[in-house]
Amino acid sequence: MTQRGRALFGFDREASLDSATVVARVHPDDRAVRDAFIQRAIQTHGEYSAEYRVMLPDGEIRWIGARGRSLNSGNGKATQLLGISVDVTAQKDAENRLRLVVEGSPNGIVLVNGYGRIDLVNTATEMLFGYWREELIGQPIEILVPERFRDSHPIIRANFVASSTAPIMGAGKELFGRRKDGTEFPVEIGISRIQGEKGVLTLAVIVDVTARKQAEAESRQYREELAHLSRIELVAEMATAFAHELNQPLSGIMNNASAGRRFIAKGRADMPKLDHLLDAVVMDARRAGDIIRNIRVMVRKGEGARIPVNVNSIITEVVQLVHSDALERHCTVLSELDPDLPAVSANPVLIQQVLLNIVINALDAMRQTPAAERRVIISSQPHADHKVWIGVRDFGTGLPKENPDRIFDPFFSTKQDGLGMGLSIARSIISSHGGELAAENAEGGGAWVHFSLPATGENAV
Amino acid sequence: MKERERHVFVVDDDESVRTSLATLLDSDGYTVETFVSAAEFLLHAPNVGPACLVLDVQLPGLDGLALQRRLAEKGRIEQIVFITGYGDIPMGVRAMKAGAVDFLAKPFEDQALLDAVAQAIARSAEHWRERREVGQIRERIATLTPREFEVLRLVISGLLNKQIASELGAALRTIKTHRGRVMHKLGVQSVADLVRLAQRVGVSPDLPGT
Repeated sequence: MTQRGRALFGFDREASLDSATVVARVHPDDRAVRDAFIQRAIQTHGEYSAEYRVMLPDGEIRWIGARGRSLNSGNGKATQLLGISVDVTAQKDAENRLRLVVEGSPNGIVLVNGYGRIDLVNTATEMLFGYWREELIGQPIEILVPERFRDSHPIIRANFVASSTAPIMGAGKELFGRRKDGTEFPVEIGISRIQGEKGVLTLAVIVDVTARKQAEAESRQYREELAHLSRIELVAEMATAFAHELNQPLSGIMNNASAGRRFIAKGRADMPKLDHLLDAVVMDARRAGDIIRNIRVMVRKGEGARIPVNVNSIITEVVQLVHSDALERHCTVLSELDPDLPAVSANPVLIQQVLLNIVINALDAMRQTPAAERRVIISSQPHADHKVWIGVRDFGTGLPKENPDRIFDPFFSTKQDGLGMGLSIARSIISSHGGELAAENAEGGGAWVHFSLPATGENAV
Repeated sequence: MKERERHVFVVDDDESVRTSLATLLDSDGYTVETFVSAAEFLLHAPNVGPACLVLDVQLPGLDGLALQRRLAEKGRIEQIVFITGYGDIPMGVRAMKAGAVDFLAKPFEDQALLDAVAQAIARSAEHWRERREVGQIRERIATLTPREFEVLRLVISGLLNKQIASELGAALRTIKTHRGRVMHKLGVQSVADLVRLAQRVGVSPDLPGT
């Protein structure tokens, strides 16, 4: 053993060494490993390389990296080992620190090899997905992806690996992880490519965003409830104001008519008096009619101006608006748009409201539909009668079997907390535009709700 | 007398409500006067005797509830029946607590209004009678001499003639004379009646040593 070798094991220059004194310095836990390597090298006359710890007399622990080979002495029995040992403590420490960083990360870390198989996972990944790492290592990464995305995932992954600029998955997208028990949870995934010795590795950092999504959903629901409440409040206020206005002439009618009957009952009625009373009744009835007409005018004012509108852009907006609702319900919203659509004359805000209403109904109708079949298809197409047709097809429970047109009645709702006004208002909006709104059960299940709007000669803005 | 007791005032800013109410009340034999505002009512309504005031809650300027307060402060005895185009429960409770006879939402059944008006008139008449009697008692008490008034207060305190005599430093016979005159002037036969009468007009006993 060289002087440097002696120093490595903490022996001084004069100490007499044999294999037993050397082995005594090796950490008890590592002796078997070291021995196995050496024995194999001797038996195979080959090379060996091992890492093990030595314990110095002062208690210091040192990592040794040893490499060598066995030398055949010729008679095939006596064997010599020739090798070098290096202090690799610093390297080991760095590896250890890295391992601690990876293991200690609160986010799931997954390393995927070029074949899409899992190379490494950390503790957080085990916790997130409910697998032990032994169950994950070597498995396709798709094991962590919900079934309905599994088919498309390898393609997305291949594209990702092939593309030179590595994108960040999950930023702006809504992704889901699948646990061992089949449940899903929303995730955000940061991805980077690592050029490793054995090819390109993909490093994925997975963040569970369940709590954040839940908070978002709660705040959204709160906002919706507020809007709903303020709508109800507005209606109540208007109703009160109209009631007061109407109550005045109604009181007049009641009083005059009652007075007339009393005069007759008491024999005090004469024709001029009764004529005068009836005249007052007619005047009040007319006044009540005027008030109701004024209400209509006021309500109509809210409908706003008609402008040339491209229906496709309204559909695109609605698809964006329902995006998160659709994800929440695990639904896909598709659009099949005719690019050569003539413009229609409409109030875009109202038409958007109608379409939004129909699409939300469609999403709600698919609660019992298997997740893989939850689709809403919004289509647009021109018709020969100078109209544009917009259709919404879902794969939900369909219309009520008896009297399906009831869905357009005010206050008809199949939803537990529905007001039942949506489709009723939608139909009146469409008919005020000179179009038609209808619904029927689609072939192959689900509902098919469609409406038409008259085309204009002008171009849409 | 009877005509005067069937007097109804109507205050409502809506012309058709106002005139139709007048007609309805007329059909039931009431004498009706109408006013378009609380201010007009305060300026022009005669304070003649028992009366009912049919009062709209929502009036421009001084509203119905404010007019009710104003009348109470003035000690007027018209009894109020409120009518309203959009009454809520708290508003009705407030009006009733302040002594209204009824609170009717427009449009109301004629019989409901006429019943309320009849009740209001009856209540007002009762107040009217009470007020007139109290006035009469006060007038009679005003005829007592200071000495007789003093004797009255001691008698209603429950003192015997002898005690009153010693309290006032007068002869027993003199006190008996004073006491007889008090009973006679106030038109009562017993000490019990005298006590009741004194209570109605607020004459308090004069307990010696207090």
